Amino acid sequence: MGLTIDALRVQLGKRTVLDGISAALDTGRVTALLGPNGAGKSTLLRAILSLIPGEGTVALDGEPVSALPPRVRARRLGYLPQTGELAWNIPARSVVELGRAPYRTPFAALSERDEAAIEQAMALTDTAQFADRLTGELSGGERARVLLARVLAGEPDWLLADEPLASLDPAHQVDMLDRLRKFADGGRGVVVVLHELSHAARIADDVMLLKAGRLLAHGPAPEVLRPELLSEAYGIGFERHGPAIVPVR
Amino acid sequence: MKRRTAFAVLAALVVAGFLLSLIAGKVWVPFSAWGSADPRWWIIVELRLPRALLGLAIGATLGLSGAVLQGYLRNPLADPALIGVSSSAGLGAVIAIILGFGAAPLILFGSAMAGAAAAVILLGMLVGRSGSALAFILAGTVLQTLAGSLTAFLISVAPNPFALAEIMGWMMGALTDRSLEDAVRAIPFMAAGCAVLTLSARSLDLLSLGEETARSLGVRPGRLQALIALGTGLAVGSAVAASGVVGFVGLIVPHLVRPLVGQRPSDILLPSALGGAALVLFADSFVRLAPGTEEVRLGIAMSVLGTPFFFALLMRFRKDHAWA
Repeated sequence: MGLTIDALRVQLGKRTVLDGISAALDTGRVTALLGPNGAGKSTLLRAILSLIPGEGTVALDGEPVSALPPRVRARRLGYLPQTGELAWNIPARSVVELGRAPYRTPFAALSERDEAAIEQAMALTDTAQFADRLTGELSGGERARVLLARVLAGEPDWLLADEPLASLDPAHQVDMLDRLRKFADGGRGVVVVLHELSHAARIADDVMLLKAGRLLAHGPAPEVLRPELLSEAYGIGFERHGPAIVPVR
Repeated sequence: MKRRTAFAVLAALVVAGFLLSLIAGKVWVPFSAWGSADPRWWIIVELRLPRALLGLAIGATLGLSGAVLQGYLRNPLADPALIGVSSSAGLGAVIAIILGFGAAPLILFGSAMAGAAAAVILLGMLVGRSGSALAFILAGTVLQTLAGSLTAFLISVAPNPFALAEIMGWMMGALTDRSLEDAVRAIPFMAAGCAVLTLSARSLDLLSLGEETARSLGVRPGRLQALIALGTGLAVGSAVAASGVVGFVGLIVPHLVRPLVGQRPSDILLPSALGGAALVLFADSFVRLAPGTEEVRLGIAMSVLGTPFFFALLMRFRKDHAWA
């Protein structure tokens, strides 16, 4: 199953944030979205999800995403936003349950299928042990796992994650990366916005490198994560030290 | 407290409040007089039953709509007055009084409902297709301010002191001298509004994750906003049309029930309705029991209750956010 982006252009106010983005992404692979601040990475995720209007087409298995009914779209594309907003202090399990919303009618109780998906998502993210704890009492790492479990509970074909490692310590960052990798290895697609190039080198099969709203490069990670391409995108030099890609002046 | 226990306690409070509302007043009517030829029974049938029914419905309506708006705006200080429906319904009623229809309950009710309907339509026009909660509050504030200033203008040009007194009395909110017809007229609108509002329950839960994430999970912001505007218009509009402006219920009650049933927006809807009904029934019984020949207006009593409530809220906030 593929996600195809064709000549995508997004304008926010008078500013063109994305211009002429075209790419074909496959399931079973992790695609990292890289680029300097303001390059349009988060906007690209939101445009793929049809959360903001844009010109051009984003299609899922040939079907335009914008034409899908919202609930159908929600079942296929899972979104893990950067903010991790939780307005109310509710139990972790209640947060995960929200991931099943696209499958439920307004007043229906959770079905057996819903319960199974929730249990599985919590098992995959190791969150079952604090299912009853309020989110306000969780650490940053636990909270991030609960929010990931919320997306996984929806059993989407694609997981679109916007900087899921922000505010996590190195151990939790590696943990989160491994979980995303595992999700893709299960035959689903992952598109993830990252800032740390070493993380991209660790997890990504493919990299989309953005600069000022344009796609500078797209291809297998080793081909894109080259110092000369990265320098062009970020405007500073890079050196490889083993698996690490280090910026230099 | 377990949810089931909380429901039972709140339901018991509603029943107790309803019974108190029938029994209590300047004349106490013991159970022995119920259904008998005792003239006090007619006090219940003619005066107190309509009042208790309206108190029950208005309290439930205000509690529920407060819970819905707090969930929708993700703001625990939101209340139905915030979106201008109450003040617009109030303006509608004031226009009717100024035109000399203060003693015509049907016209007064219709005019208040027309005010609420106008508010909902204007709200929709002002917000447009954005579906944004922030635009909703801003549009509500515009309406609230406009309706408030027009009401103040009409008060300033009131044709005579009687009309002025009538307006002031009405605006302070009360359930005094309501008939069974008043209750029968208003309650179906309140019930319909509440039914519409409950349709938003699942979306309110999803909004906990933020507006954009909720959209990614299938919430249609424009549709949700229309549901909430329509539901509040029907429910709060008819509540204000029946009783005048009774504030604070929608603001206070969700805060009171959250410690009992948790904070998930859909979980507090029914408890807020029950809590609102109990609060208004008890408050209305106590205003009748206050010494003096004139009753304290229900709206004033609720405002008086609101002050210590906010004081307690402020103290808790200061304690929770105190720097070490």
